[in-house]
Amino acid sequence: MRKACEEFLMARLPVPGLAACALRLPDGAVTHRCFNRWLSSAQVQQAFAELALSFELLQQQEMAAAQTVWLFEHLRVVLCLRPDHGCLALFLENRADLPLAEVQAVLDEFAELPTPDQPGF
Amino acid sequence: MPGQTPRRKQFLFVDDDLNFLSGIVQLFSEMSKGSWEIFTAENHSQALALLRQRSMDVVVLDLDMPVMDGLQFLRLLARTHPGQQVVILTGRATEESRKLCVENGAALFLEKLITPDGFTAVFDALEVLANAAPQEGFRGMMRRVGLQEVLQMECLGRKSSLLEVFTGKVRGRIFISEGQIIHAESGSLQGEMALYGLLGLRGGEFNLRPFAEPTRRTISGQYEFLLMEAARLNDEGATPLDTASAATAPPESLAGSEESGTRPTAPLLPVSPPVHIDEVLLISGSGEVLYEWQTRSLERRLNFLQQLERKADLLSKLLPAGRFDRAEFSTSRDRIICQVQPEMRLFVRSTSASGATA
Repeated sequence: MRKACEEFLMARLPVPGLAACALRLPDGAVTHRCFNRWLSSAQVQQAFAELALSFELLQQQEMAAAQTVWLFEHLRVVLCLRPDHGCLALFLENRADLPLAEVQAVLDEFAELPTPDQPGF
Repeated sequence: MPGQTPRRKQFLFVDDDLNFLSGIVQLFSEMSKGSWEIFTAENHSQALALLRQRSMDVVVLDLDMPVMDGLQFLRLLARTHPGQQVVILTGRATEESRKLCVENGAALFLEKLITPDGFTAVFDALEVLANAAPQEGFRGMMRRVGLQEVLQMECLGRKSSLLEVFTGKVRGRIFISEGQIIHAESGSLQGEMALYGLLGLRGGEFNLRPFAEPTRRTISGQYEFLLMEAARLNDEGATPLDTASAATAPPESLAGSEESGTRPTAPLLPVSPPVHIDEVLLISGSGEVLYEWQTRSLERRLNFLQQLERKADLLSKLLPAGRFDRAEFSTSRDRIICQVQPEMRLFVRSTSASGATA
């Protein structure tokens, strides 16, 4: 799974406006990457830990979210949660020319990456 | 009815101090000689659950409580249980808190004095309040009996009465004289438009009071035709109060739009139309429920917004992200937008025909 994810992210990232990304694999291992100096590794790691927990907020509301967007004045964080608990977060500058369709496509493809027990993995 | 045991007065004490609650139950049960039935709740959630099960003559609230304090709960009760007698009983009485509580509908503001005389004074005040003569007329919930049915009964019986209708945002009156609807008013609306608007409300309460002559008579048609027209307008979703008061209409344009104030530059990820709004909750910065529409569980949603706000605050400190604006959550079916502004928090749940991808 790690290899499949890494290959996928290498192929699809960065997209314009991407400051950092973070990935949690189904086994709980977390990796991240910063694409500029705006966000530090420590910031991305801590924020990702908090954001990944946000899916649980929805579960308490009896709703199982698959994607979330956190929108700040200067930052847009989009997250995608897979059924196997793999999670991808993209930290994007919140600017007018963000390629949102491309971002959405990355999330959708991440969600559809085969799981370790699926054929084709 | 003769021979029936007098109904015991129902009291609900809401306080996070369990020792205080158990003391109150013991002491006031003795003092009332069994004429009081006392219920207790440690927080607003328990209190709301009890209020859903039974009606209370008086709800007594502590002010200092975690999660939702007494003042916030008082405001919530004014919205969810209009007309409920609420008394504030606090150990930290200040002039400002007294003023705020009275302004928000508290019938009494009492100080929690832990002395025999203090308890006696509180007991006496509550006893007087609970025994106060009920106002003439009937009260009802429109969810249980339709306003149209009440009007029909009054008109069929050729009665004269004044029907007061109120929700959190809308108040109105319908005047019935000898079985004919002669006047209606709601906000700036009068006449048939006000009548249709009131009959189109989806929930709320009413008081049926003795007739009083209105300042003028604005309606002259047969009540049967008026009620039929109201039903037709309601079926078409064109009730005047829905259009006259934006706060009473589900704001369909909220999903995927820029709502207010200074916005971050990029638009939301696109929503595939058509979007159907399923649930709306708007609360003020102080936690007062300003508007709710089809909210599944008010307590749960309020708690969710609080947690979300805390998380957003934390993230704002962790990252050079600037002010938090909103979070969006997409499930396979629903899309939820939670906006947090200093002066308000908004929760909107919607579904789109093509699913709910962000």
